[in-house]
Amino acid sequence: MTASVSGWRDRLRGDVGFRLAIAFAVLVHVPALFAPFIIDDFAQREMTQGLYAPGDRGPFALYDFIDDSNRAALLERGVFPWWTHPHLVVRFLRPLSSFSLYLDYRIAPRLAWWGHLHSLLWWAAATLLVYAILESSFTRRIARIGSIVFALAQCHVIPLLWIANREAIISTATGAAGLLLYLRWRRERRARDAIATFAAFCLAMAAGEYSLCFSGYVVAFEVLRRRESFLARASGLAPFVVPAAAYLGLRSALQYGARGGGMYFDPFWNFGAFLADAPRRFSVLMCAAWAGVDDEMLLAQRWWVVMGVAVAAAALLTVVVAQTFRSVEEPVRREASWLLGGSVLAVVPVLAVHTSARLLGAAMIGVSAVVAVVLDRAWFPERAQPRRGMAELTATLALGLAFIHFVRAPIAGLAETQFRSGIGDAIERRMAWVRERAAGRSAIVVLRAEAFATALFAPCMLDDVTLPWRVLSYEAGRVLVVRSGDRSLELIASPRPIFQMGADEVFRGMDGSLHAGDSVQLTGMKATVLQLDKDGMPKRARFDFDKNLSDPSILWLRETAAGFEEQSLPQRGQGEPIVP
Amino acid sequence: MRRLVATCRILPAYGMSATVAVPRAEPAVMRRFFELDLLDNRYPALHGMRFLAIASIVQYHVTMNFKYTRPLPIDDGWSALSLNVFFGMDLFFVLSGFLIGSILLRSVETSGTANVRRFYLRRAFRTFPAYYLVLTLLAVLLPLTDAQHRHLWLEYVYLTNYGKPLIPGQLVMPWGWSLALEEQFYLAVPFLFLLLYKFRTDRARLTLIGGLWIGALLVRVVLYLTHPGWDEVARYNYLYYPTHTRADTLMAGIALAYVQHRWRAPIARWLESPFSRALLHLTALACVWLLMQPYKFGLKAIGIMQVLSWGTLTSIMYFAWTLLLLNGGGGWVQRALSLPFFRKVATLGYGVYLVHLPICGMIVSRVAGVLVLQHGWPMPVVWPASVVSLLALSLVASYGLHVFVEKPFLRIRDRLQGWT
Repeated sequence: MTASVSGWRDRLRGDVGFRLAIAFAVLVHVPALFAPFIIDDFAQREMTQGLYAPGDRGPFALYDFIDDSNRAALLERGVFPWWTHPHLVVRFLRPLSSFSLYLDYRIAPRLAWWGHLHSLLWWAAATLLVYAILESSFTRRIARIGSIVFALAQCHVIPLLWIANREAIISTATGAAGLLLYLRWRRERRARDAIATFAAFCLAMAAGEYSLCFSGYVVAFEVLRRRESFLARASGLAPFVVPAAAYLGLRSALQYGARGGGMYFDPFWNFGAFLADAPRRFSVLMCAAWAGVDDEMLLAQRWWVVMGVAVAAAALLTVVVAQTFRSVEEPVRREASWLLGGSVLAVVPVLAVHTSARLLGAAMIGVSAVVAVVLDRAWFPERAQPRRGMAELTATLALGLAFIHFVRAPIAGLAETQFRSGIGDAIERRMAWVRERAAGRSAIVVLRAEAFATALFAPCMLDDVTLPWRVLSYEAGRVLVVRSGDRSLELIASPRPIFQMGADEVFRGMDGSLHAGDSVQLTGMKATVLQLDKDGMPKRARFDFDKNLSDPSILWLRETAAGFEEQSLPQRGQGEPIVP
Repeated sequence: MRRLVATCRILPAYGMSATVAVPRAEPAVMRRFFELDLLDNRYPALHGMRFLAIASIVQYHVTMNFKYTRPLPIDDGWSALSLNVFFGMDLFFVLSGFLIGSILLRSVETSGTANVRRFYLRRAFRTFPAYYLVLTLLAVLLPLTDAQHRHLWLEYVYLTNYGKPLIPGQLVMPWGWSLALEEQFYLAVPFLFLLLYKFRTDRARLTLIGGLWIGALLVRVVLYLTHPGWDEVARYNYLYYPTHTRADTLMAGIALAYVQHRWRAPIARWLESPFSRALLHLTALACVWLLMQPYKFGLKAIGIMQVLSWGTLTSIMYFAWTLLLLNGGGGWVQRALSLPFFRKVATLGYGVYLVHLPICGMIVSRVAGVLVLQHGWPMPVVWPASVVSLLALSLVASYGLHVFVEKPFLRIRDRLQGWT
C-alpha cells in the first residue's frame, strides 16, 4: 500500500497530474464552444458582409463600431439608441484581432462554435507560452502549477464565449510570446532575440491595446530584476517601447479610442475621468485577480466596501507572499518579485475600460507565477514545516489561494459560461420572435427594453437593414405610457430612470448629460426629455412620430424578463403601465 | 472527593478491591448519577465535528421556523445562506456509518463474524428510549391532526422518512426522518458486513462498498429523470428522505471505517505530505463550495444539483475531511475541534436533536416573534441570539434526557450484555 500511495503521489506530482489538470482546464472551457453569438458578434458579422454602416470596410476595421462617419446612420437604423452621445466614438486599433474575426465570418458566418474553437486555440497557445515563461524563470513544478492557475483563470471565460472579445486572448498570447522572447533577449543579450522580441511585440500591439499591459512586466523586470546601468536597462526596453510607442502614435493619429460614453475612460481624451475612477477599478481588478472576488458584485458596492475588501485581501496576501518570499532561495525571489510587480502594473492600462475580470489576461501571468511559488513552497517544502504559528497560518492562506484558483475559478467559470450562454440563447429566441412579426412593418418600437442586447446592435439580428428599430427606454423600472396625441406619447419611469447616463454606461457618459427640453431628431421620430429625477437622469420623455401611432405598420413591443410582447397603446389622453 | 480519588489510586497497589475503600459512597453515587456518560474519545476531533453538525441543524431550523412557520421578517439573502447549510445531517450519517462500521470491523476481527445480536442490543438501548419518550410525550401532549394519528405507527416503527415529512401536519415528529433512516441502516448493516466478508480481497470489498455508495446516486438520478414534474416538495419526499436514495452518506462512513481500519498507517504517512493534505482539503472545499450555491448553475439546474448534493457531494466532502481529522491532518482545525467541551456537547447531541424543534417552536421562535414584532429588535441580533438560546435550552433538556433516560437504559444494557 505504501508503495502504491507513494507512486500515486509521484505521478500526481509529475506528468500525469499536470496533464490531467490541463485536460480539466480544457473541459472547463469547452462549454464555451456551445455559446451563441453575442451582441458585438452580430455587428461584426454584418461588417464582414458590408451591411453595417458605412458599408464595406475591409478585414482590419471590425472594431470600428461608431464614429463620425457612421454615427448618424447607426442611430437612424437603431443600432444605437436615440440617447446615444452625439459625439460617441468607440473604435479600437486591433488589426490582427479584427483579421482573425474577418476570417471566421468569411469561412463560417453562421457557426458560432467555429469562432469559439478559434478562440480556444489562442487560449491554448497563451497557456503554453505562460508555461514557457514560468519554466524559463522557475523549476518545472512551479511552471506547471502556474500554468494550471493561468489556464483555469476566470479571466478567460468571457473572451472564450464572446467571439468579439477574442482580442483579449490574442493580446495575451502574442504579448506572452513577446515577454518570453524579451526575457531571452535580456538574459542572453543576443541581437536576434531583440529583433524577435520586437517582432513579437509588434504582433501583440496589432492584436490590440491590451498588449500595453505587458509594459508592466518589462518595466518591473528592468526595475526589480536587472542590476545594470540606467542606459543599459533603457536600451533593453527598446524592443517593447518602440512598437508600443508606434502603436500609441498611430492610434492617436488615426483618432482611435473611445469618448462620449461612460464605459471607457480614455486617458488620452479624458484624463480626469480616468484618474477619478482609477482607484476603484484598480481595487476591484486586484481583488478579482488575486482573491477571486466577483468583479461585478464588488463593483456594485460602495467605495468604502470596495476599499475594505481590497485592504483585507491585500493584508492576507502580503502575509502569505512575504512569508513565502522570505523562505525561498534568492533567484526564485528575484524572479517572483518582478512577476509580482508586473502583474500589478499590468492592470493600469485596462483601468480605462469598464471593469471586468476579462481584462486580467496579462495580469494573470504574474499572479499565476506568484501563486505557484507560494503553493510550491507550501506543498513541497524541502524539510517538514512546523504546523504551528506563522508557518501554519501561511499554509492555511496558501490553501485559500489554491481554493480560489483551483476550485472557485473553474466552478465560477463554468457557471458564468452557462449563465451568459443562456442569456445569448434567450436573446436569439427573442429576436427570432420579433423576426416572425417584422415582415411588412415600417418600424419596430420597443417601449421598454430589458436586455442590453435589445438596446445595442439588436437590428443586426433582424436580417433587414432597412427596418428602423426604436428603443425608447432601457432598464427602466415601471414605465407609464401616456398617449398624449395621435402621433405622440410620453414615457414616465419610476423608480428608475428611462435610461442611465454616466460611469459604466456605454451610450452616454455624464459629460454629455441630457437636460430637460433637450431633444433628438431621427427620421420619423423626435424624442424630447421633459423631466429629470433627483440624480439628473431622465424620468419623463415625449416621443413625437411622423405617423399616427395606431398605424398597423408599426410594431409596438415591450420587453420584460420573460421576453418581448406586443404592446397595445392606450387611447388618446390615457395611460397604461408596463410593469417589469 | 480528592481524598476519595487518592484512596482509590493507592488501594490497587495494596492488591485490594476498589469497592472496599469507598468511605463516603453517597456523594460519589450522586455525582455518578448526574455526570455525563461521555462518548468514546478515540477520535476527539469527531466530537467537534458533531458539534458543528448540531449547530448547523439548529441554525437551519431556526431560519426555517422564522421564515416559513412563524413567519418573521428575515433577510432573504441571509435566510438563503442559512438554509444552504443543510448538510449537518449528512455529517451525522457519515459519522454513524464510520462508527458503526468501525465497531463491526473490530467485532469481525475479534470474533470472526459480526455479533449481530449484541450489536442490535447496543443500538436499541442507545437510541430507542429517548426517542420513544419524546415521541410519546409529543403525541400525548399535542393536539394531533387526523393524518398525524394515521401516520403515528410509521413513527413508532421508525419509518418516518417514508411518511412525507415535509408536508405539514402529517407527522408528529417529522424530524425523526433521519433517526428512522439510521435505524433502517442499523438493521441492514450487520448483514452487509457478513456479505462483505464473503469476499476475500480488499478490492472486491471496496468495490461492493463503492457500488452501494454510487447506487444511491443512481437511484436518485433515475427517479429524478423519470419524474420531471416533481416540484421541490416532491423532490424532498422522494429523493431526500428515503433510505434507498440517501444511503450513500452512511456507505461513505462504512468506506471510511474500512479504509481507516485496513490502511491507517500508510494513510497517516501519506498525509504527512502537505500536498496530500491539500488535495483532500481542496476536494472537500470544492464540495462545500457547490453545496453552498445550489443556484450557481441557474434555476433549471437546481433539481440535478440537489440530486448530486443530497448524498454524493456531502459524503465526498465529509469523507475527505474526516480522513484528515482521523489521521492528524487537520492542523489548527483539528486542535480546535478536539477541545474537551465538544465531547460533552457531542454526548448530548442525540438528545439535542430530539428536543430542539419543539423547543424552537414553543419557546424560542415565540420569544423571537415578540422581540421582533412588538419591541422592534433587529433580526441581526435576534437570529443569532435565538440560535444560541435554542442550542443552550436543547442542551439542558438533553442533559435531563441523558441522566434520567439514556443512562439508566445504558446501565440495563450493560447488565443484559453481561448476562448474554
